[in-house]
Amino acid sequence: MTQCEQIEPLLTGFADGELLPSEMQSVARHLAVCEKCEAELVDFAAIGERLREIMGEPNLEGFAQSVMAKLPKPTPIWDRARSFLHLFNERWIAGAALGAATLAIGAFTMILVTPLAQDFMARGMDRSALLASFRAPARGLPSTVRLASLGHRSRAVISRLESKMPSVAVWSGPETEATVIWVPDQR
Amino acid sequence: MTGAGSNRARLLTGAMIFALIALGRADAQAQSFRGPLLTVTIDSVLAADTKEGTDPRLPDPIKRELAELFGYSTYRLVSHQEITTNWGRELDFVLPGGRVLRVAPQNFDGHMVAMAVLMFDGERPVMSTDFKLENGGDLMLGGHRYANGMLIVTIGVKTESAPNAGGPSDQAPPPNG
Repeated sequence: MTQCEQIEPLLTGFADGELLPSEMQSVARHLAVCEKCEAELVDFAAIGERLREIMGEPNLEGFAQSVMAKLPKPTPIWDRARSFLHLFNERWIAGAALGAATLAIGAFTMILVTPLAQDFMARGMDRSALLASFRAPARGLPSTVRLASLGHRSRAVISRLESKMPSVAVWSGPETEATVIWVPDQR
Repeated sequence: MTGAGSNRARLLTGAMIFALIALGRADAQAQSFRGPLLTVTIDSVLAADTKEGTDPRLPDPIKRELAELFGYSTYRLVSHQEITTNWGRELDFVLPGGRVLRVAPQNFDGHMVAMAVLMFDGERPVMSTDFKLENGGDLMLGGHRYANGMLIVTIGVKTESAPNAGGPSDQAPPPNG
């Protein structure tokens, strides 16, 4: 696709100033060096002007008043409050359940932000990552598997690992951050 | 044209096409060489529970990593292989025990070296991986039974700025102790 073919669909939007800033800039830069597209833009502008002349302006006298007359009148706030209370009174059980649920969510949130809960969650996430990624071999494996470790000297980021072995494992040391890929022999 | 002359012409044409293809491949390979030279180091370490300690020939960072990552009482350097190369080449290292490690350095972003590694057991690919490794760092592969323990292979990478490419230098260390 040539640059002109890319720019052409944007010309009407450019003429109306409806493009994104980056698109406006692209079209403007192209127009500066392309006489063909510039001529096309002039044609678009001329057609638009001609259409506006033919269409003429509609008679808008009394339009706003007629629209406002059709809109429903706002209900007074007291009426709205009374209606809500009436509804709540009829459904007090649902209201009580809603309140209990709110209290439960609040209590759960408080538990989650405690250090003990955070530690528990972190351990759970590590374990799930381990199980989702690899099955660890029996010998000498730390419980944490980190594909992307953040050490200084031996930092490694593994983007792909494929093996037909069912128990390939990856882990890294917390201090050296060195990474091991453990590919056991097939039994 | 006689039959013998026709055969000679065909052979000559075939040889010219082959030469052109070979030249083209060599040129393409030469064009893929970018960036500073790279040294790939493969250390093969026998890890066992024979309480012989750690081989003093092992570099200190490797010693620290082995001690942290594994729980063996013996680490003995079995082989040390080192190749200084350009980018875009595939380097094959024969490991103790017969497995072959194919290392293909791909690019260097100034801090980390991207590489692809393929391990073969005979002709069968055992493991394939792509990773980025910090310049001067190493990644370990383990799990293959060897002698009275397990073989742990460290893949080390370091870029060099000096343009003195060396050929493969595969040297086995003197026997331990």
